[in-house]
Amino acid sequence: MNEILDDIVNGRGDMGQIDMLIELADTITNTALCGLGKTAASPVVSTIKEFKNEYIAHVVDKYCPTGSCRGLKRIEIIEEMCKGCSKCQTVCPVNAITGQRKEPYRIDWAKCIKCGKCLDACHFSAIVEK
Amino acid sequence: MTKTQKYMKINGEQVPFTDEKNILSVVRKVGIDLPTLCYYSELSVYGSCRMCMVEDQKGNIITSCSTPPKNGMEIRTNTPRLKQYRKTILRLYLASHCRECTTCPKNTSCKLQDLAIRYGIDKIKFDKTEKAYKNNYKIDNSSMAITRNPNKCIQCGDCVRMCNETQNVGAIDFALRGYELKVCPAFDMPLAETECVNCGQCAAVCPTGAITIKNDVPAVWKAIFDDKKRVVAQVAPAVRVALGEEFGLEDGENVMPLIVAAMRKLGFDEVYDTSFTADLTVIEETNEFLNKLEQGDKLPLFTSCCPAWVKYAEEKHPELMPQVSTCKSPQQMFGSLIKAYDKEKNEKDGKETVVVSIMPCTAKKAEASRDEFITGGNHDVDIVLTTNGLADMIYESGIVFKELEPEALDMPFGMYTGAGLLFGVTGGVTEAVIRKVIKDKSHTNINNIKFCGVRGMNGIKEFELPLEDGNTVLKIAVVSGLGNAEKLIEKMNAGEAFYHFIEVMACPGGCVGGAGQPFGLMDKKKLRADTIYASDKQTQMRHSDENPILPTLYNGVLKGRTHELLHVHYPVHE
Repeated sequence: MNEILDDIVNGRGDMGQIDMLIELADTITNTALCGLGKTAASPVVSTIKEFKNEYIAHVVDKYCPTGSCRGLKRIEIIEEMCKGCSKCQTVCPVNAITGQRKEPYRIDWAKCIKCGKCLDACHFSAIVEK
Repeated sequence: MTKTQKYMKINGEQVPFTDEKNILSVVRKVGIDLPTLCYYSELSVYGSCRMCMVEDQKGNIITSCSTPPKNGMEIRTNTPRLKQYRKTILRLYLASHCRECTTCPKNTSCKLQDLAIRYGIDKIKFDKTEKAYKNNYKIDNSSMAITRNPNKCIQCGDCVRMCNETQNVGAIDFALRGYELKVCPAFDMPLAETECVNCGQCAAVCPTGAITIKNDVPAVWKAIFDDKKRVVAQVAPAVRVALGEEFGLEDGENVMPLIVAAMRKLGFDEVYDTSFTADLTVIEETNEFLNKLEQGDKLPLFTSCCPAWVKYAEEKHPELMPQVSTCKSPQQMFGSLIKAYDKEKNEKDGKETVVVSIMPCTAKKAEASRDEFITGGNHDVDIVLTTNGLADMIYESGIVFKELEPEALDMPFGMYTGAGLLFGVTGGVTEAVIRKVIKDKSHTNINNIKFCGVRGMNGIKEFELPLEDGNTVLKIAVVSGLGNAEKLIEKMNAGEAFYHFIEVMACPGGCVGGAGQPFGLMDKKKLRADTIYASDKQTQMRHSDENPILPTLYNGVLKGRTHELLHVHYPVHE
């Protein structure tokens, strides 16, 4: 279940996985040997019950309504506002930002860990979080 | 005391029960086979597999193996919820389990495979998870008898309980936690380097192919197809009463004549009976016992026929080793005897004798490979097959076992007495020794021995036997199951008991319940034992002294060499 939730908050989920979560939670709640096991799935069950629309937003729109899921965030450089100062490239801890001076820089999302360092570093508010 | 009749409702039907220990046995009694992976009536209840769940009248899901039946209880065994849970749980099992069924030694006899078919599992669903099967574990084939493949383990704990509770060996246990949980020897050592006694009972109860018996069939085929090899087979007493089950004959039927016919068709050159060397063991062991008794040596004398027991004594009670009989086991006696007997013939023909034993036992595989049983660089017994191994050969060759015409054993080593035959069942060695010790050897007197307490499937049998001289009363104990042996040894060490003679067989029920046999619980083992006793009654010769081949051997090949060929001294490790 933990792995399925990981998938969902990182944008790898699909609708089938929500059903799978419900099925697993039901099985575990009713068949677990120990009392801890019987209650372990409750938080997941109640969140699915009360916040199903948020689950759907995560798996269908790949969007986190509260902005808490780092995996679903995307940091972008707005090309028109970027002056090409290279400040963001310097602070990026994983070398995800590349580009030529005086030209707009780009973020490689495969490398980006969404730490937000570049957001703080940019003097021109050219970097935004979506 | 009369048992009070109580009633419960199973799927709406009123069902009586008395003192069943769990709901599961009540349900099975009324003809509903609830699935289980971790439950054996002879092991303690564990409740880990969650397959035997039932729903009670309040809609609670309970495991039937660990819940005692109550008067007035109402349960259902097959509701939509239960079906769904069983399927989900099976899917989870299958997700982390190797699914290469066609190449698995347990193919068609695997409980997990069986349940997957029963519940129509067509999709695994959870096969992308971290716990999913990845073939991560190394296969441990260090042991001569047992192969461990942790990739196929479903962590039901059957083997662990068998090894720890029934056998008191404790060679394997659970290690680590959560996703990493696995069953392995301490420190994940190779099984061969642990205190494992090779009894194979873990493999017998393993529902999947995680613990299996080493397959030596290819080596036998190789020997059979080699013209330079004289392939001599010995068939142990317990094999004949179990092999028939595999081929759809009646449980416990004596199929020795069919085994001989099948083995000749398979290409074995000579087929003999281990009961013959069992007779030899009786003579040697009784002489050793009477000598010790006369000279006042330290008693009890422990039997040495069971190699798992010998290994157990070596590992856990080295101080008892001097009291374990020096007689080789019948299998090893046969090996050394036949190789000495064939020596001249082989030199003339330019052939080499290969001894193949068909045993109900897995520990015999390890016994045959021990250093003590190597003569001139060759093992006395070259290859050991289990009963199931022989069945595999018969299947492979296409021989239709049921339709074979019965054939007789080869001579001279196919000659045996009823006493030798008894070695297949717990108490058999003792009964055979008693037959040699008593003076009045009339049929009636021999038949009467069975009332002294030597027979039966109890794990510990203790009885007294007054000798005819009127002075001595022999105190004898017969145990099967190593856990029972441990109990007896503890009792002796505490000074609460003294015995003259103790027979130990590692497997519950004796060799008929060996791990190399088709799987059977106590009721099946009892049928096998009954057949051995019935077959013994039909033999013309009931005690080992009567075996007409033995005098010629003692005057021939054994002359001056009895100690060399029939006895062994295991090194005592401090």
